[in-house]
Amino acid sequence: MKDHKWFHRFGIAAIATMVALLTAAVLVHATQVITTPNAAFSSFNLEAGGNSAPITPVLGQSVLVMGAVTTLEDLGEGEVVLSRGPADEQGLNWTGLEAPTAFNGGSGITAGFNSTVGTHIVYLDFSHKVDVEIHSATQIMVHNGTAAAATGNVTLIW
Amino acid sequence: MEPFAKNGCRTRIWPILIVWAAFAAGLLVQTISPQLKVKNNKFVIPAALMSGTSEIRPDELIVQERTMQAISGILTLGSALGLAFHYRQVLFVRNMLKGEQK
Repeated sequence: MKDHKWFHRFGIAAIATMVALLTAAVLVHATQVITTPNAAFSSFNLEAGGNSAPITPVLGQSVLVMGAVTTLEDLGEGEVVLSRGPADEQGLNWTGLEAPTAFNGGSGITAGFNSTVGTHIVYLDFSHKVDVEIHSATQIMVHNGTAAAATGNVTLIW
Repeated sequence: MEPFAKNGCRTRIWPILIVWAAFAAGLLVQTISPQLKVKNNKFVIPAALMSGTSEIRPDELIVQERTMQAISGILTLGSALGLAFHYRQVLFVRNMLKGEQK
């Protein structure tokens, strides 16, 4: 009878602990997700001549797009601030800095307003072959213009 | 003897079943959310999405993730508090007895 009571209390304590742990885990994750700023990071691994999936930046506010190529001997990084035009004037408007092409050289400025597919926005690599391009009037993509695979990452902050 | 024969028992059983269901729903929402990881204070879009051909909308993905996490958190916390309240006599019986002895 005493054992039965002990098992009963042990079972209740185990269930209560499990509920408390699950609740804590859910709350910690939810808090982390809710408090994380509006920033999205994505890695890419593109074959020669390949394009990434189209990315649609948020409408109605500026978006900082920064990216880096991490392929050996073609390292580089570029950044651009872009915004999507309104519905009656669709296109992407941007200004930013290209990846440098010399070890101690400066970066060129990139700027424009366009909606033509394939228009260059910003280079991300040393040899200026991997870049962010226009995919459509509202979307961007990463294009690998080298003859080899390129790896890197792109971060969007808005 | 049938446990739910009396109306009194029914009225006591249903609220706690609903609370347990809410707790399970909170966990379920957690598992079916987009499961975006957070690294270096940024949401990580899965590389598989990036190398695919379908459109990526980071803002919508993040809003969806936040909404589902908020729903999950509210359901789980609310139901956990409800469970603690409902089972307070079982959970805290020893302390209550100690208090009575004093």
